[in-house]
Amino acid sequence: MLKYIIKRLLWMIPIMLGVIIIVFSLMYITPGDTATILLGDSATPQSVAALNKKLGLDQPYVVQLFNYIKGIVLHVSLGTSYRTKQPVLNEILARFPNTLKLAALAIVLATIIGIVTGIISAVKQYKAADRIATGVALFGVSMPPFWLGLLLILVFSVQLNWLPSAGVATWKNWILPTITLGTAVAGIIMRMTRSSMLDVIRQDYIRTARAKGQREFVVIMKHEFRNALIPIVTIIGVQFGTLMAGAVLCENIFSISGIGKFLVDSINNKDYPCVMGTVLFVAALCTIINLIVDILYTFIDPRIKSVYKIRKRGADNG
Amino acid sequence: MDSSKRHKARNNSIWADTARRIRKNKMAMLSLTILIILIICAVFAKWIAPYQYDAQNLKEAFAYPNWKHLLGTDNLGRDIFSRIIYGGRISLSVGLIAVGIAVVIGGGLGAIAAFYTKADNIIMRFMDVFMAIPSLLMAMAITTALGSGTRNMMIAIGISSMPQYARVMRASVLTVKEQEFVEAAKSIGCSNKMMIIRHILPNAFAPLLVQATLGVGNAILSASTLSFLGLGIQPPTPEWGSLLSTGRIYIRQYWPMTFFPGLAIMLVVYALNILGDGLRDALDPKLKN
Repeated sequence: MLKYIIKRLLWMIPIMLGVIIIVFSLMYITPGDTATILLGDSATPQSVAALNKKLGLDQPYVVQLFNYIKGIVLHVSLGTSYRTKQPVLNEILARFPNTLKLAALAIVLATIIGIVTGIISAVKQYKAADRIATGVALFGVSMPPFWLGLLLILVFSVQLNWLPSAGVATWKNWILPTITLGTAVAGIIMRMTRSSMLDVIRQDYIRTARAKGQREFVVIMKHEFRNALIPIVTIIGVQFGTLMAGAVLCENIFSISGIGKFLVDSINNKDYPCVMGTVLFVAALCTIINLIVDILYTFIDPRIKSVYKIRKRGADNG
Repeated sequence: MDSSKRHKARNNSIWADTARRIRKNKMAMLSLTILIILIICAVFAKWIAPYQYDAQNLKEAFAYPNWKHLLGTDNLGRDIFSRIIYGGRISLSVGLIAVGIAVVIGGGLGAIAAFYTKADNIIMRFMDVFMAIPSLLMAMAITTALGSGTRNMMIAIGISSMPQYARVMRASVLTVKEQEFVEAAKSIGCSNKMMIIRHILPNAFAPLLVQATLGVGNAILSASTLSFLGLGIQPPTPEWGSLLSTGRIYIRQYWPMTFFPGLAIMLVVYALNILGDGLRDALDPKLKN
């Protein structure tokens, strides 16, 4: 198992290297001269050339890329913001707690709603409860999150005046963004829980559990849900990327100072080191989350762990 | 084989079976009808829309829905219903073309990976790198590099969603490749090219079609998200996301500008999701659940 984790951690290196190359190349081909953007249209060619030299932007693509990678590896630096002149990583880390809080609240809400409705839907297959739940879940998946956010503001902030529509001052501020971000994910988790439960529900061991007089609740939770959990955990893990993307929208709608809002502001201000840094940061985070999900499997399903053990034993013998 | 038998054999093909099964799925058929109506509206917008999408009438600005303006008017007195119909043209074409790009490039790379073992590792590891970046963020980075606009947005969304299609196509081709009919074709001396075009690709295409149907909805959502954030199509072009983005400023005073474009997006994505689910069930009834 440890070998597998080390292997996966090592595999992150080429993946992240690839991500850096792609993101760096995209920013490199972005039209417009960075020094001119920073100095304004009235800058003289001499001052533009001097700034380009200072920032190392007059060097060839490969050298710039190498320097960027060197900065990340040796100094854990994602460059300096053009706008604030602060290290990009500091800017990201200052905003990350808000994004993490939003994502965590949304995933908790989505998981609770998604799993509970998914289980009910599977147990009551083709009954009214199932049809309503699947219909609503599909609405959740199909609804543009920014539209839902605006409608929530319209109803709960403008009409009813119950909840604030911007900022993070109190716990009430988090309610609308959490619902906005969590709805689509809840729909996805619900659909996955339902289909995964339905796969398990007709297995022989479920019939055996019932035949030996097990209580229905125990059959559902211990025998059905436990065995249906792997695809559900996978989908929750995969949703982290969706949540990060959703956070971009939510933070912009509800004026939350997180990395999503930071990314959009950086794009609008042509602050490319910040754009690059944020995308890399999120990509690294998603890769780590995926690794954690893979490790979690072994705790949920001991059969997976035993597969590693058998493989290891086989390798040792062979 | 006489002609009636041949006809019967043809009707038992995977696609005929699928068509038969999907016709029984009422929700999928309803969704298909909604989509066809929307496509017709988008194509014939010039004749169907009661007003030009850019026809301003400041005297009637912010009018609530009435008989003259079914969905009301916007801040410049433009008819929201007409703008949504014209907007459908852009949103639907962005969705379809972006998915087309993803299917051609992603599906093509997936098929190559499945056919040629040597290329497999390189292509799929490349896709792993792409998949490490959330697709919306990837699309945002690409639009930053290429600039905003309809064409660039199609490319950005197409490229960012490409890895999913590569994975689906690869898995599908790998399964079909091992089937007995492929072996049979090989044994009667069928050339590689013929085998790929006639036997493998048509049979491996079904999962890709399901993915593409669901993908069009996601592409429309991504496009409207980019436009909403000001990174996609810019006003006054009436793309659904950009209509919503403009309406957002007036949400506290006037809701129709935000409500109706969002409803249009949701309706299309909902219909595409139901159709995609229906297609998946029809193509593989064993998967139904």
